[in-house]
Amino acid sequence: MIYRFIGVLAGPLKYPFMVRSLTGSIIVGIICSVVGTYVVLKGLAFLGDALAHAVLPGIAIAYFIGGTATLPLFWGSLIAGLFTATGIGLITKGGQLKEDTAIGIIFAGMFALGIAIISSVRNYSIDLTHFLFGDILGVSRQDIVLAVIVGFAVLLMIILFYKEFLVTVFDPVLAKTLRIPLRFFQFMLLFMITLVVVVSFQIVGVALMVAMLITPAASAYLLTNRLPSMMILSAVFGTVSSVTGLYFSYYFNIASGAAIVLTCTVIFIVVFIFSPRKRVFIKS
Amino acid sequence: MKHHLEHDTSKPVLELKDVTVKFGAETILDNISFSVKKGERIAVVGPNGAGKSTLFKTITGTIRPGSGNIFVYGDKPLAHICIGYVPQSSMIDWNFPVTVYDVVMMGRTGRIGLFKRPSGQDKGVVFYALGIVKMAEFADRQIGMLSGGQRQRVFLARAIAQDAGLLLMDEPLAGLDAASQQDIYRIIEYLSEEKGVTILVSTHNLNAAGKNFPKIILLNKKVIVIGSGKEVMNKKYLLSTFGGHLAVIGSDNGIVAVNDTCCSHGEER
Repeated sequence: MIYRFIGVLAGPLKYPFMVRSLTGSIIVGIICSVVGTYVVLKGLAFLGDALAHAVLPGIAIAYFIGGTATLPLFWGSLIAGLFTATGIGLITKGGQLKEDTAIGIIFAGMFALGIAIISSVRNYSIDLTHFLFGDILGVSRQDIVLAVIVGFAVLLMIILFYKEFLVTVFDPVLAKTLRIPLRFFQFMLLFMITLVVVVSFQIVGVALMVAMLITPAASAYLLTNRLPSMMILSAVFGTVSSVTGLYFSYYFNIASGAAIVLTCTVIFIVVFIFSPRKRVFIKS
Repeated sequence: MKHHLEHDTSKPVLELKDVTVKFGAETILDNISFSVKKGERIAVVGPNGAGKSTLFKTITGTIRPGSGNIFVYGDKPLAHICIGYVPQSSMIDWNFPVTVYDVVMMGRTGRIGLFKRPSGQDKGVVFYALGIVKMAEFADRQIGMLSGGQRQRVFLARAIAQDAGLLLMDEPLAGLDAASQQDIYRIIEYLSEEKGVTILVSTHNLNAAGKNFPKIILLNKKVIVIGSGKEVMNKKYLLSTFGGHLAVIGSDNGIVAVNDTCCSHGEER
């Protein structure tokens, strides 16, 4: 029995591409869930979803220029993500439109542009599925290196600016009276979310990205009293989901993104039912 | 982040000159002028929508006035990090994963500086502040697990830890029982009389303000009157402040003001 279990665990590891995918999904699981704590606490789920979808035109253009080469895809999606964040900021600046309206407009527009670009070229359905739902076969060594670098940078930023991010997210007015550069840190938060999306879409796919950002963090939120413990627990949930999901993906031939997200969802449901101290999901 | 500016003690702690704030076409604050001396304890009283929260946010520098000037210790609002602001309870996410200790330590953020962790001295200040508001034993508790009065005391402690010379409290008494209100009054009194902290508190409860604050500003978009509780309890002033929101009963020995639209949990701008 145990040998069989070990056999199941070791099975995929004889393929180098699976080792790469596993490494990649662990990194993605960690950084998505840690950055996701801010997304959950600030109520930015819709924005996270929008950023994930809106990188599609960047990916599409980069793909047709450089194929699946890592760096063009990275820059393409990063530029598209930053463009989206800036666009949302500009539309809401005058105060005439609410933020969720602005997000909806830009996100749908960018996503449609991405689909339009991809569909205008051959192999439309195959490539689109790959981007939307993630593709474990598509993870290259360069992708891993990039994810490690970006993940390290993001975690370092969160550690170095822990106090400042905490005040910015919890009480923006205090941040202002303490002369903490509020706008800078709010922008950095969006920038980190974008970065995480950009290095993660290969594994999870843009359609389900938002679940990686919010579900592990929401599970951790139900169980913890302090931000550092929420981040650590969220990272644990994210990692467990990524690894479990990836094995399911391998053995049952399910899209990797879907398998990972479903695992996150199951964890959340269990936590929600058995949470010792159910917090009410309302802002009092 | 620059160092804390020295306070020019010859100038008033807070001075507003013809401050007007508009949101779109709507005027929220209309030509507000007043000045506040060190150690004064003032209640800003007006109905919901009178602009009390906007006034406080303008003083902190979060909202920029359309016209007019604000001076805090003779400088622009954001020049100092010693303005303590206690937000309305409804503006805080009480489910946020922070403990009492974490919230009070936030008041130290500006002084600790970038890339640094809180020192032993910062921790000492946090517990000193918690001691003043009698909340030290709750340091490790998540803020949502506190009563209304305890929540207000935590944010008072944060302002103390921040070394706030000017303290603005937005509707701190809303929804509190009489005993908890008394606790808050006692702490405010201690801070202004023993520590020389200048304090502005907004409330829509005129009677309580009259009893507990030496000075009252009646506000309804404009400053209606500034004076002691007795001086402002005048039918004319009260009607122009509260209008239809208040039943004013005149009698020979004074005026009894009856607040008929209580809205302790209402959100305000």
